[in-house]
Amino acid sequence: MMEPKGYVALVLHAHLPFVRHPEYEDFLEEDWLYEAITETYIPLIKVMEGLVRDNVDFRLTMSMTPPLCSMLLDPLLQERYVRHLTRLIALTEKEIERTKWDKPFHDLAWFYHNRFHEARATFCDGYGRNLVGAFRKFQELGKLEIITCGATHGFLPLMEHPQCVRAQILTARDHYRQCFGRDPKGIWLPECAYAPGIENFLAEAGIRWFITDTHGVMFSHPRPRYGVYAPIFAPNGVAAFGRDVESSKQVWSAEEGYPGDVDYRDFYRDIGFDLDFDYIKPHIHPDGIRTFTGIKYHRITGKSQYKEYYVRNWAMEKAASHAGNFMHNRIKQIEHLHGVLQRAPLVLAPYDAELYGHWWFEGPEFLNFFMRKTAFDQQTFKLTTPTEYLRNHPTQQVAQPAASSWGHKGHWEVWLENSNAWIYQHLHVAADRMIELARQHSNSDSLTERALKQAARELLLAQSSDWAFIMKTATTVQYAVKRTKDHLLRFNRIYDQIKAGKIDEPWLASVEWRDNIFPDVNYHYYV
Amino acid sequence: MEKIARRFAERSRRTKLGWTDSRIVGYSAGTMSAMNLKAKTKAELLKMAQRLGLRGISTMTKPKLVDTIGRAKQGRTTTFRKQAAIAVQKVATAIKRRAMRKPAKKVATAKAKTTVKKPTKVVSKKATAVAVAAATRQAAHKFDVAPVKKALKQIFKEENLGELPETYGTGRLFLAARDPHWLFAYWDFSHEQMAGFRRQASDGRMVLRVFEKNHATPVAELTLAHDARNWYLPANKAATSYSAELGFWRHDGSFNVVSRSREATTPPDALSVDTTAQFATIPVDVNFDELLTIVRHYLNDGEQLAEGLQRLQATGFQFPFRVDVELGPWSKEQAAQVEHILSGDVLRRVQVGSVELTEWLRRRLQGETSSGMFSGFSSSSSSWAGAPQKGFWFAVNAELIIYGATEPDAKVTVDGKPIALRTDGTFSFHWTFPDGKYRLPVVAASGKNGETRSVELQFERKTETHDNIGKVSQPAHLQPPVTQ
Repeated sequence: MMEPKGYVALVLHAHLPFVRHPEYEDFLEEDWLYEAITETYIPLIKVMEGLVRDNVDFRLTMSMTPPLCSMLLDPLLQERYVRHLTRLIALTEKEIERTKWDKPFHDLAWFYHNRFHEARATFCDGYGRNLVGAFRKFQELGKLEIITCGATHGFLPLMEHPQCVRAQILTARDHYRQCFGRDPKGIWLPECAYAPGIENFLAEAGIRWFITDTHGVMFSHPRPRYGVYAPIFAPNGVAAFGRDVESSKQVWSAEEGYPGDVDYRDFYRDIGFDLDFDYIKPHIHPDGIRTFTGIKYHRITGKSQYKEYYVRNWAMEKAASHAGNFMHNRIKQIEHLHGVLQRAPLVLAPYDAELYGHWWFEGPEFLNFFMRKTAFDQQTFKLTTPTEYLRNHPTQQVAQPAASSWGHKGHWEVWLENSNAWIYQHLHVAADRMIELARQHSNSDSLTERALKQAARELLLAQSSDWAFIMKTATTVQYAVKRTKDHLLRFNRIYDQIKAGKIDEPWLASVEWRDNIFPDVNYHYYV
Repeated sequence: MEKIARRFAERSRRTKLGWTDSRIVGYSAGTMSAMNLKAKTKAELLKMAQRLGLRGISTMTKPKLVDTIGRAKQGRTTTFRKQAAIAVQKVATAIKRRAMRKPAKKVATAKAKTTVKKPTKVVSKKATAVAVAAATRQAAHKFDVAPVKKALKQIFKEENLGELPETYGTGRLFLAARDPHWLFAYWDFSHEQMAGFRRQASDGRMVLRVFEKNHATPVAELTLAHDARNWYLPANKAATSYSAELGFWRHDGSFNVVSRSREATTPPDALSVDTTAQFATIPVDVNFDELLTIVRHYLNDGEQLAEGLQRLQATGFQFPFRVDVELGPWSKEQAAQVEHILSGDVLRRVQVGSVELTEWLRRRLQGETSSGMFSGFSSSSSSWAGAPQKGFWFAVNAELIIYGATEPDAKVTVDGKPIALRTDGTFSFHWTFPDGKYRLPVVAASGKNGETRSVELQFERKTETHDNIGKVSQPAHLQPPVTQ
């Protein structure tokens, strides 16, 4: 291949908050993980398996957050996922019967039946229930670059104490080492929220680059010569990559974006909501709350409520043609940029991983087609990952990135407004206390040591930006508020017990069993 | 009370620990002129002297210290250069070695994997089985980052955690720049503390003052309502530092500060006017410690790594890696075109990015699948069980289910009878289905404009019974079938 005129880096941010409730037999919010495994993570793994099998040279970057990796590695959740899949398979068996006289639906019932079987085979037999290991495999093959995130997806710019930012980053780095057997080169800052100074802790963790929204690089100082089409080095040497607007728009625009195509599967028409209550009851939540099952028979059809049945082949053809369109648009974009810049531009396109597959059902296939077409049908650009790009292009402009996030309006507003501003006072006091504890206890007996570690876990879990986000969106507020309060209250109780020298061991053990993230958490980071 | 206030103010000054704190960051500069030395406090100079290994420093005056350190540094410059050269050599060797070692490492791991899979055949079958089991166990735990399960004495399902306190009384005044144009402040004082302050105030009110950096007069001064706990304030300027203080006016006309915030800087909201561009070569596979080893002794005071690399590379300093400072041409026209390509979208922040959809999606998901987490379990499954029958028996019945969805405010009739929709607009009817012919007209009428949609479903059931077949009783909540 001749020297490419430019590069495209696809970045998928895979994250779910740590939701794990061993104290309940069934827990609705755990379904977020199960749905994402079936609809996003396993399809992405299948796509990569196929690309490797067919010798397609591809590059993909994924952030896999520590809470997500922790859940994927958790034996209880693995067991529950298998149970979840088995129930779904039983449901498809019923569906195959129910739809016997209606061929299109009958075929779809079989489609899901086979799909869930395949998911179970991939999950159990293919990777021994360990999907972290699956992704790790593709990283070791040099095709996938996995980066880290904040330890619990904490919103770093609103942390009053630098120690908390440091602990979020170093804990994530440590966890990444355990999961992937090497150090992370890049990081997805939670919510892409960056404020000057954060890069210092990245440097301490040996992290070489992070991603900002477009304006994080565009409004850097001095002005970035190449816009967001090249990274910049912050003064301390950590690189910042800015999001490309055009490629984002193309995929996600509500109006002209690909996922809204009439032939794609409709997200809302799910048999969990469509079918008769008595029929579906055994397959939804035991309390009788209707839930998404993932079995959806209709295509988007049009803007009205009227939906026709889904035709898989049509959808696949659309995914292929959209991938081709996306590729052609990148060719045009890169040729134009190359002409202007007189150097090879980098187009960095970050997305939420869960939107591929979970939201846009055909998304993983779109990626599959795009990566194959890119490898064989054109020579204008090459796929790359930010680390590979930096390796080949180590000379970049030095500039101070601007504070920014990828939330609505581009800064902190989503996570700091009337519904959620109350949490920060509590988080800040907990941080005061954590620092105090860490400074007072450089060496402790094993029980105090356990309590200190649990205190750090509770603080980290309380800091997850997902809670503030959910409060803002005013939906499962109750769950988010309860999670925030529970972690803070557990933290405060542990603090009081350590201060009083009276640790309630049975209770502590129960908290350790419940909030079991980061078994080796290092509370000394708070000193 | 004033004492408390002073202590709080003092505290916020003392604990001021910026994110660029060099204790954590640890890249401070090496060489500096006497001018720079003079600008340091005596304590800082003492520290430097200590680091340089100078003796008898504790009794020195500040000018003497400046002089001694300056001379020591000068005297050492050559040594520094030599040390630096050695360090650079070391790093260079390390970089080379790493480049050579990489492929070898892969082979080693591949080998290790094979040995795990195929234990040697010399050992007995039993030993092999044990080894395999151990290897499997090990493999199974390879990625276990969850703690080993311990037997729990008790599960505290209800922990009685209580409620969070309303305030902690830490005296913190927190200030954050929420976006380029808004600041947010909260303060943590108990009701008693606040009441105490208000009693001392000439007007009985607390005041929040906001200052732009290096300005003596506040840009905003707000008299707070009694129950106010936080406040959003408009900020005049993007890319500007602000600080806040909480206090009250005393009877003597002076302002009594009870807490001060840290500095908060609003983010920039436009392209920087500074269009100078400096480039540095920073190889991603040379780690930061190695890079620092190379340049540590040449960094200027306050200069950070990339800045130092850029400066040294521009002057032809030798690095153990390829430095590429040759750049393509750059003209005003190019700059204008880049700005044109990007500024429109960036400045307007097109609201179609994935995050907006994500937010919408998450909202949607959480709305619909959320949870009865605290409702516990209920087993409400109704049983169809009748009296137990004796001997072999067989019962068959048929049912018909009709289901659909429309606008939640529409009116739906089945066979002329109105049926109730669920709140999300879905409906379903479950019919027992005896022999016969059925015609079911289903009509939906829009709640908004009366527009109607209709459909007619037709069914027939014909049963041929060859033996004694019973009927299962119909579930109690089902309606009798609609017949013609």
